[in-house]
Amino acid sequence: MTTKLILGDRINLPAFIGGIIFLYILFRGEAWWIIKGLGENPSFYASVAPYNIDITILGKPVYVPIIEYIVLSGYISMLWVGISTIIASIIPRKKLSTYLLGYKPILMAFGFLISIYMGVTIAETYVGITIPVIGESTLYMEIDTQYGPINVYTPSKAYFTSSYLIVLIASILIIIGKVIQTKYLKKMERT
Amino acid sequence: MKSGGRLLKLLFSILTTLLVISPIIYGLYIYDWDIEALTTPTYEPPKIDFKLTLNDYSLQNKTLYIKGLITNSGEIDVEILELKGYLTDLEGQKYGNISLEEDIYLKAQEQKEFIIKIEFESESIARLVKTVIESDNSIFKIEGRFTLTVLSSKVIAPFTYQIWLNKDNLNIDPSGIQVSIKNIQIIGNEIKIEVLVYNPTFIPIKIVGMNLDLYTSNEEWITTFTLEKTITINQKADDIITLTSTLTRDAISLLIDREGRLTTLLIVGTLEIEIFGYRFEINVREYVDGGAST
Repeated sequence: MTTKLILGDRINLPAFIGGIIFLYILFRGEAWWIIKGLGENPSFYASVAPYNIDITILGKPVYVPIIEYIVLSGYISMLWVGISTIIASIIPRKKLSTYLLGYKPILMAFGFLISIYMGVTIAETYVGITIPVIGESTLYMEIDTQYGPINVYTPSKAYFTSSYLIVLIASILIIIGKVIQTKYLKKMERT
Repeated sequence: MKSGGRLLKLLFSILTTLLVISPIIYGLYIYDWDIEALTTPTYEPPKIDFKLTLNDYSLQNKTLYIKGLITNSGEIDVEILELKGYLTDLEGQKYGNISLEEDIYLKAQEQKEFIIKIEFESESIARLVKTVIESDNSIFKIEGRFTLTVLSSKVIAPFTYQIWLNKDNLNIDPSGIQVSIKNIQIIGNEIKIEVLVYNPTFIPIKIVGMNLDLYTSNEEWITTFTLEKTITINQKADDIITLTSTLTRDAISLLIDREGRLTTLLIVGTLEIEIFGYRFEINVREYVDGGAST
């Protein structure tokens, strides 16, 4: 029944759609998770996706050299996942397709969630700022100066964007595609 | 076939891993394997700086208003919402509570006038006035914390600024208070004098005591005038105070010459003045021309 989703024995439909969505999200370039100060002119803004990380504090960008290479890695990974998934989806009869269709997309989506959680935990531990993963809160920071402490309060909002939700859906579609693919090949081997 | 499939699977796994880690390895290579350099953030925060001048002091009732100019010499628009703290002397003794008259919104590089308000208790204003009147130039500190908004952040930061307070900048120089005798009148055995007191300061003064001795020009004592109630004279205003005394027959003979006119008289005495609970005396010594009406 599920193998009917392989159209005309030529295209693994869920995997194909998942791969296209993956590439679409990559080329659209939108953030997956955003945290920003509330108000018209937020005092800080951070947008994070595997292929792009932007951090701006008081209107000035924060540059960390390793981010450049992390996002390059993220970009290549997503491109590889998207292309390999599309290739796998159009060669359903080949054994190679099962190797190309993997759990990497869902691992990437959940890995991103775990990375964000770890990032905010590290920020809390080492910088002393409590950053929410989701929702509104007031970030507090104390800076010691020779005149006394400077206290900074920033009401802020953190949220996952629709792009992240779409990536999660695409990842599920690719897993469905992989299951169908495995069943399809088993069926083919039997016949 | 099965071992070929495993090999292919392994090759894909290696390829995927290489794709993921190669940019990081490339980054480490570019940064000469210096992990610290690769992970150290570079951030140049925008300049946040203010220039402050306080130039106009005005003491009204129990409040000192300090007008000043503030310049936002930084790169970001800011709004100063609150200033909380104290006016203290250099020993840290508190005099009054400071606050801002109103919020100050300052664009980058903008300059604006603003007013700091310092409110005193009765005891502390008396201490301040005493300190200022008794010394030429007293150094005080405005010390506290101000709250400002920078973009969407609220920042509470310490603030300290030294000010010099003196009789001139507070306009409370008692030496400027003018006292003059305007009129002397004898009715029967009573003598009335009208004393004009001018208050040039910017605060009301209280005349809580006045003792004036009336002498002839040869310094023969005639009578004494005493103020029996407290009189308040508003800032930049004058008032005529009428004092009455009883004359003896001998005193009258000393006052009037052979032509029935008043002789030249000398008035000597003191006025006790109170400014915000701080009391001081002003000496009076004035000759009154005999031509004054009788």
